[in-house]
Amino acid sequence: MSESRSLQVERLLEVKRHAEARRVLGEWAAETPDDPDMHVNLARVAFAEEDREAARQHVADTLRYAPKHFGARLLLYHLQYVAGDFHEAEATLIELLRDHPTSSHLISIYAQLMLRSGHVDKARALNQEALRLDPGSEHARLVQVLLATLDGRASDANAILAELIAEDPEAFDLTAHLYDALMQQHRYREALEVGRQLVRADPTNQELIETVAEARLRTHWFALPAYPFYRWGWKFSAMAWLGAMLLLRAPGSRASSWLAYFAAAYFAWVLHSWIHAPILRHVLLKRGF
Amino acid sequence: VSLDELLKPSLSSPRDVRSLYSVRASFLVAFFGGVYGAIVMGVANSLRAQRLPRDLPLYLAAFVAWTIFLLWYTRGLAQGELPAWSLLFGKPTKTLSFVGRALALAFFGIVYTRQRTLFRAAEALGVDSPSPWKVGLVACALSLAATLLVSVIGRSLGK
Repeated sequence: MSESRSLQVERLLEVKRHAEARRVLGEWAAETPDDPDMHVNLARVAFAEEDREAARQHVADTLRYAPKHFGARLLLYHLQYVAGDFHEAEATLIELLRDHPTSSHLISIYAQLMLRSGHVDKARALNQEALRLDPGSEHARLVQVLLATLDGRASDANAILAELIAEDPEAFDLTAHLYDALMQQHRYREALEVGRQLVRADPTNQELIETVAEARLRTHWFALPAYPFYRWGWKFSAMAWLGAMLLLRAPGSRASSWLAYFAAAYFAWVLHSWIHAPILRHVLLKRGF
Repeated sequence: VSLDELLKPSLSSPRDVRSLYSVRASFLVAFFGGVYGAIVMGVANSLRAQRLPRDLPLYLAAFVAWTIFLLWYTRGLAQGELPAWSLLFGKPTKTLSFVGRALALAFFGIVYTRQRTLFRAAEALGVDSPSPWKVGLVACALSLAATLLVSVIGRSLGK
């Protein structure tokens, strides 16, 4: 009974029917108010509605009735992770791993935490272990995509991502990773197409809209002069400065009148590279893209 | 590495979370603060990444090399014995300013290359960088003070 209701709530959350999920949980609470599974599902609904304080409260209620509840401890980890309490998140996760040492999923979650907190070597070792335990683990392969991206192995990252998407073309998280990978590879037009799909799937997610606006910003005609700065980053900035200074300040340069035009164009270009992004971002978020 | 080894906590306190100052902030400090500024910013990032012992020889080598160059250049300036290239930008002081900035950017490039994985991890995972204003201003101020001090010493050696 408890399992089928959990599944029902999970499905309702997947399609963002939070009110419906709350109705199911209301009936469940009336029948068995002390059921830890009911409390953890209340926490899941609160988490989906971004009410983290209520989610924490429901997790605490669950753990009071069932201190070793797997779902509640995993949700507690996620709450600590999104709040940026990484040392607490690690402690929760290690406790979980002591009880489930062969869980490839948990080990790859730990790998992601290590990556997020800058412990790249440990993340690599953990994910290797997760893949050894379960080579088909979706989460471990996603972390592998991230690791390959960090190493600059774009083709490896793309190959793993393509495999994952072929296995589950509807998966939102995978599409979001594809968007990130395309942005990292400076493939902004493709990233924008993928981003638009994500926004269509979750049109009320403001954070997502702001993320995808970045891809639109980089493909907008007004941002075109700044493309080399996006594509080659600080290396291009340094080379542009070096080239301009050598041209403008080298001996004999003051005698050439065309250099005044070059200097004006150069400074206009630099100024544009600084101001175009906030202006465009404001316009795109206000008018849509 | 065994799983037991891997399950040893790495984040015993919030300070163990390695989030670096952004690439843009480090670049701008190198640009405006020069070589000494780039070194201070590099040290700050290495401290945040808990890898100062690994990077320290690089910072020391850059500090010693730039200080020797600055002493030699300002001493030569006081004696009027600088090579012809010092007039590349008209005045020797302007050439020195250009060389300092170019070397600072090159040094930042070396530091970036060594810490590239951490910078990329922060970018890929959307890690928020700490505010760079305080450390950036301190780096620029220290750089200015150190450059003035070394220049005064160099000039006094040339008299």
